[in-house]
Amino acid sequence: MTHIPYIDFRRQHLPIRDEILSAIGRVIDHAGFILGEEVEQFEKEIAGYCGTKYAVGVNSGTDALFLSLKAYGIGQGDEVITVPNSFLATTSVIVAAGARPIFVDVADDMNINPELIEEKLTTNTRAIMPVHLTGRPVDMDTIVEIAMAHNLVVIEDAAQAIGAEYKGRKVGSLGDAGCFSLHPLKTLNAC
Amino acid sequence: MKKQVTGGIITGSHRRELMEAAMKVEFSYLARQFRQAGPGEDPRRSYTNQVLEDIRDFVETGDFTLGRKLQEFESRFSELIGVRHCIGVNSGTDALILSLRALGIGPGDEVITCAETFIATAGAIAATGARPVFVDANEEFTIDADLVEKAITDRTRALLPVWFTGNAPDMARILAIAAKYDLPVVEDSCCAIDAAIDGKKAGSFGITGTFSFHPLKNLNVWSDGGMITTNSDQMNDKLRLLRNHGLVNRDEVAVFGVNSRLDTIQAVVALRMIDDVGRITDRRIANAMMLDRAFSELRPYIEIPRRRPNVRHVYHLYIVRAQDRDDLLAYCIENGVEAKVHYPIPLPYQQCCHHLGYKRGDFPRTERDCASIITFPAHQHLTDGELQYIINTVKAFYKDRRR
Repeated sequence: MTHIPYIDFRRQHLPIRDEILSAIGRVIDHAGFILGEEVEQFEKEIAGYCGTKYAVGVNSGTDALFLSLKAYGIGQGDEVITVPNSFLATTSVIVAAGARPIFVDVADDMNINPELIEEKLTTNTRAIMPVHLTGRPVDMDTIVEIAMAHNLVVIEDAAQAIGAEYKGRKVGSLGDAGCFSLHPLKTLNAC
Repeated sequence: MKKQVTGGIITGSHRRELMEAAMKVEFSYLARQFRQAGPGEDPRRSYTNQVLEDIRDFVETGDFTLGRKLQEFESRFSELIGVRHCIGVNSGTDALILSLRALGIGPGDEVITCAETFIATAGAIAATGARPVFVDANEEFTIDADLVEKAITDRTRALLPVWFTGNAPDMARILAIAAKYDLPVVEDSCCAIDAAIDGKKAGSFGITGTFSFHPLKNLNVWSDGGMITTNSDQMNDKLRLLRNHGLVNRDEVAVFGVNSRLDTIQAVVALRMIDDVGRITDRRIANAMMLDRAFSELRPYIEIPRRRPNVRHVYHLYIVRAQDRDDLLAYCIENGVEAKVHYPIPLPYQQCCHHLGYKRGDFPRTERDCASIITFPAHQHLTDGELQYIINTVKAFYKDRRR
């Protein structure tokens, strides 16, 4: 019987293994292990790829979301709108920041239903965190419109969606901040 | 006339002669580390190549997240420290944050720590929402046990002593105070891999110990990385949940956690280096002893902190107090000795601590230290000639001052 594994890392890495190993060798030679020149170069490339002014490399997609919330001063007493069908990290970072996750149901495309957002807004709402789940972009025009009308921050959870486009623009460039994961199972990964 | 620096001696310590023999003694040894072979191995086969081969083999397994090699490293590190459990995390900072979170510490709570430490110690307390409460340092740059009890309030939830510089805090007294007030002790042993008191290792005294594998540590993973040590089965269970999103299994979540896993590829690097930790540490200690012997002749210009014979101080940082510190520092740098200051500004007076309400005069010893301490390179890759050059540079500085 044919066995089709969910993932085959070996097939994925074999063609580029030697190239990566020699790049690691170069890092070892210059010994700039922490925030080294390659990080800066990679950040620039990601910013260029996504069409944003900046890109900031962090520990994980989870930390990218958490630090974005912190950077916008979101914490105790605040509410953040997101979806109930994402990987749990989307919600846990809101809790980790001290804020309260407010779930809005999804539409047929499995992404947040923009029509249901406004009824969930309160005086404590500070941000909307749409998730481009499975790599499919959210209807961002409507989200951004609602956010602007209510003075809310939009943080895109684009962890599964690097390279996805919405009306010709890359995800991660559509809100106030976009967050990516480089976990081994992602299209672009760092082991 | 060029002076010979090989063989460990530079003849003459006058400034002019020193300048002629000038060399650069770097603080960071990373570039050298990877040109050296491991113990009992062919020196032509460098660490770098061995580790790259390990990584090459590892990549083929595809076992990237919480993989088998991570478990193997956690188990080896448990043996090294002499504890039941080790939990690999993102960084030493995360090791502290997760230890405090696993103890249920958060907003409204207070955690007592030392004013003389790296910012991450206090940053970890603040990250949980708790309040860092600082206690002044003693003569050895660790928390003054005499002052700890005065800092305890009904909001105190933990004591967080720091093995700063790789030296032991007075753990016997801290544990006694902790027992008296029923408080847990979290050890910030991030600088102190392989340090010990009477043979008992740093990280094995408290409810948890916390370690960093940052590139400058005596065991490192070529990047940020950390470890939590504990003998408590309950803490082990909680910490394993917290570092992996609170996931009980693939589909079920028990608590809100974070993503703070030591990468398996980092464990591959560490497994290659762990056998060498004892040798690396012994060499650092020998270098520190050589500097101590030479600097003891420079009293009162140089003051060496007390050394306790029952403590294995691993000299992550080799720090002494110096007269005219700023001038000495500039002189050393000018002459190629990459001396540093850890740290020049007392932590409680940093901008990030303003809301805590501390004022000048609250930490007299820390203030005095910040103005007088200097850190010299003491790493395992220094040659005897380089150590002697450090010594001669410092001697030359004070000789010129006396004129």
